[in-house]
Amino acid sequence: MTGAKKNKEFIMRFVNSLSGIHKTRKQIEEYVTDEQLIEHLLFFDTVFPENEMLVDEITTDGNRVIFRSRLKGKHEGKINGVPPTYRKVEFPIVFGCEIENAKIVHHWLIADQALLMEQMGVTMPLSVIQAN
Amino acid sequence: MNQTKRNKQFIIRYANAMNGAVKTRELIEEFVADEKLIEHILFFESVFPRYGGVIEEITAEGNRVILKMRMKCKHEGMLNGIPPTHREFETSAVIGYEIENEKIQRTWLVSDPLNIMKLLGLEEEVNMEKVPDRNQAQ
Repeated sequence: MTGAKKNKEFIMRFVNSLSGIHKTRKQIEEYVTDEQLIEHLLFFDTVFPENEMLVDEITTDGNRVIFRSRLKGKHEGKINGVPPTYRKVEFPIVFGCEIENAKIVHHWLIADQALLMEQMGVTMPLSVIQAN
Repeated sequence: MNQTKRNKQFIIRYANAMNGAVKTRELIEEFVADEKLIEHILFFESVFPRYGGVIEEITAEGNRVILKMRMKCKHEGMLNGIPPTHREFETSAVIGYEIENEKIQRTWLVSDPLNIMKLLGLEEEVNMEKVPDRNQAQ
């Protein structure tokens, strides 16, 4: 199996094992050494408990994996100054990960927070610039 | 050279041709067959003339190429009822392209318009009063 294929399967295991459950630091650390990513995932789990990660596309190139996904959950914690609305949300989020020794060692992510704000009931006049 | 590498180079040529240029339909159609992307670029060009971008990361597999971009824009056109602020800003975006026959056939883009709003000084446009309390929630 090539390195790229192994990395793709690793990311699928990572997503499948954490999607839809309460995420603990210990579980995340089985896959991630990047402290910032660990904190992001723990934060998302406080805002959207037991959130699901729905993967739409995975692209691998060398030790990099990019996966385009949707984060699906219920808004039960404060985010961007917005208190819990208890609304269901599903918004696009793209992760870029670098993998070494079967761990995510570095990441970036971009999320469409404007769509998230709309789904929480906050009007966002600039949402028109979102392309799908 | 394999197809993935050719696709990467094609996207780099496309990004360089668009960077800071006046983006006409004719110029865009040299690279793009996806009508939705053409219209999206033309709309962006009307709001942020000659916008440009620096490629921060390029990832390719098969017929797909993904760019992580640092976009540089100046707000000079009407944007969903918001008049030009003439502010310059930089923001990140990630764009996925599917390439066939030396043309972009399909695309997706994820950016953070909320961050753009903050950079344009339009945070007050967010209507917090519409956030429902727990009793009103769905």
